[in-house]
Amino acid sequence: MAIVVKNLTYTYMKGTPLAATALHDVSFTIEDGEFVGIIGQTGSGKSTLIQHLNALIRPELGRVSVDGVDLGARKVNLRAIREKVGLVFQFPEHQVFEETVAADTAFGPRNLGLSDAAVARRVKDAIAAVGLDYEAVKGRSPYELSGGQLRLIAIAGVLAMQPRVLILDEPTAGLDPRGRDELLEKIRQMYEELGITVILVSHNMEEVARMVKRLIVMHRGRIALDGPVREIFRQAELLREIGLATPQLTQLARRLREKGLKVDETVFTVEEARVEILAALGQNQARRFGNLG
Amino acid sequence: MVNTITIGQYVPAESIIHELDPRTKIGAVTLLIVALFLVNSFTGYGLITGFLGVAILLSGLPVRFVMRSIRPLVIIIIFTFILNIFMTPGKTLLLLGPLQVTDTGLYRGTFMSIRLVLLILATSLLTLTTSPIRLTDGVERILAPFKRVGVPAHELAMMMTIALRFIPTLLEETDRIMKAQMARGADFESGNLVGRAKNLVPLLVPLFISAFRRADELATAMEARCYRGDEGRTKLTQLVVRRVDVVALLATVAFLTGTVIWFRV
Ligand SMILES: Nc1ncnc2c1ncn2[C@@H]1O[C@H](COP(=O)(O)OP(=O)(O)OP(=O)(O)O)[C@@H](O)[C@H]1O
Ligand SMILES: [Mg+2]
Repeated sequence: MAIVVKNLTYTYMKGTPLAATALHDVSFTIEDGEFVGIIGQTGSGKSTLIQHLNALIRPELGRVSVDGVDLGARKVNLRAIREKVGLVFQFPEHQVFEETVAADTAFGPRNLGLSDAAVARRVKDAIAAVGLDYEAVKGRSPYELSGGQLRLIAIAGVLAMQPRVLILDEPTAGLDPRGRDELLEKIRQMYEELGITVILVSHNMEEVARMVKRLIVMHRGRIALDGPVREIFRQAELLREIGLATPQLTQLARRLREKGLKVDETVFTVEEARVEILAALGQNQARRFGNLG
Repeated sequence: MVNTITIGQYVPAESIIHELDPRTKIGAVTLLIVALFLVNSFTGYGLITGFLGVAILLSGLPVRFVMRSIRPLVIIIIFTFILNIFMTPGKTLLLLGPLQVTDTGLYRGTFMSIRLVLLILATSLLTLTTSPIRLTDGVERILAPFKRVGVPAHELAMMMTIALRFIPTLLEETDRIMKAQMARGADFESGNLVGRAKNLVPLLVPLFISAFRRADELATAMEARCYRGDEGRTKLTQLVVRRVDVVALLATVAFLTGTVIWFRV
């Protein structure tokens, strides 16, 4: 029982003519070790929601608890919560401020009051975990790095706190396709190797579909859908209504199905699609497309 | 925390005050400020408060919301009040150790505080009811006659537009960087003065970098769209003086002049 959100409602600028309700009665539970995607159009409340999960925003209406600790309680140990739940903001490279990569990565663990030796070890591990060469980058100025590398360093800055839950807000925004794929691959590796809970926020379906097992779809501050990825992709109409497209391969499978070919409409990787389509076409015809296999 | 600050904020709505020409409003606020410095009796301030109250009611904004604009300056107001109470010579009313509260001090302190509150409310009402574009258009037009003597009216107005435009952006950015550092265990709320100042480094460095980056991007974007000052530049919406403007301005002049003449001791 890791993260429990219950009837959470949040309004920005409450009590002014500019009040905007960003979350309406949101409830869900995320268990230890899950890999969850949160997806929704811009302005749907994703960032507001995740800021509640490490008490950057305190719950006003409703409850949020992490490992049984109520984040709305008056006396919560905020530092302990933020150590447990690491949050990587959108464009995290904008938070980098130290002169060297190693010093910046050390900011988090140092705030936890660890010894110098422990801080150094964590910095090294974190930079290695994001796949950069520690010895090569440690003494460099963050601003000499490429945009993609700088983002990795910013992520390492959060990883160095050794959180049990890692939340990433649109980690791939503004990266080129290759940088995006590499980063996603690294996030998957961290999930598998560190055994942590990962929450990935995105508005790109293709991206989350490949990564996560469970998907929470936000729409105008409410949870529209919550469930296994495949279940979600069956709701193509609803998704289109709220401005999200299903992955292209899912759309292709759907079209083939409409034309009478019996393929599973929830496929979303090339490999799955190949297997499904070949199976549906039957072995005879499959031979004609032999060069596909 | 940061988003409770409403300086320079504009709240769109439909009201007589919103629709007045910005020049009328700038003129009226200027007159009001002058009057605040000339009048020196509580009755006079009462009348001016009433005048401002009517304007706030006409604007249709919730009174409590307009009052909130005082919040960021509360410390200055309290400071002024305390300084005046203790530092003005006069008949002693109360002794607090080496400090004495005097009757003139109490009077001056209260008077100055009311003056500050009215100043803030008047200028806030101006920015709350005037979009930044109209506000700077107004400033530009008011300054236009001085162009001949070398006042860079257009440039001043443009700088003002940009500054106003970036206040909310920078506040938002501050909020975001602050939260990002708090997520890394930073603490901006406790510690002594020196410690707190030191803790601001992780906030200020990224903020400055981002401000410079934004300035740079904006300059490039303006140049890419061939911005070259006001030469041959026309406006999409022209400012027009309507009858309400004339009436409003005349009423303000009449009322404030009356108050000043009557209550100037
Ligand atoms: N600091 C703020 N002050 C006022 N309103 C805000 C603030 N931050 C967000 N909002 C509003 O709350 C709503 C939800 O915003 P939020 O940032 O959570 O959306 P999001 O799903 O993360 O969007 P994006 O995909 O663009 O990041 C939006 O309508 C937004 O305008
Ligand atoms: Mg967001």
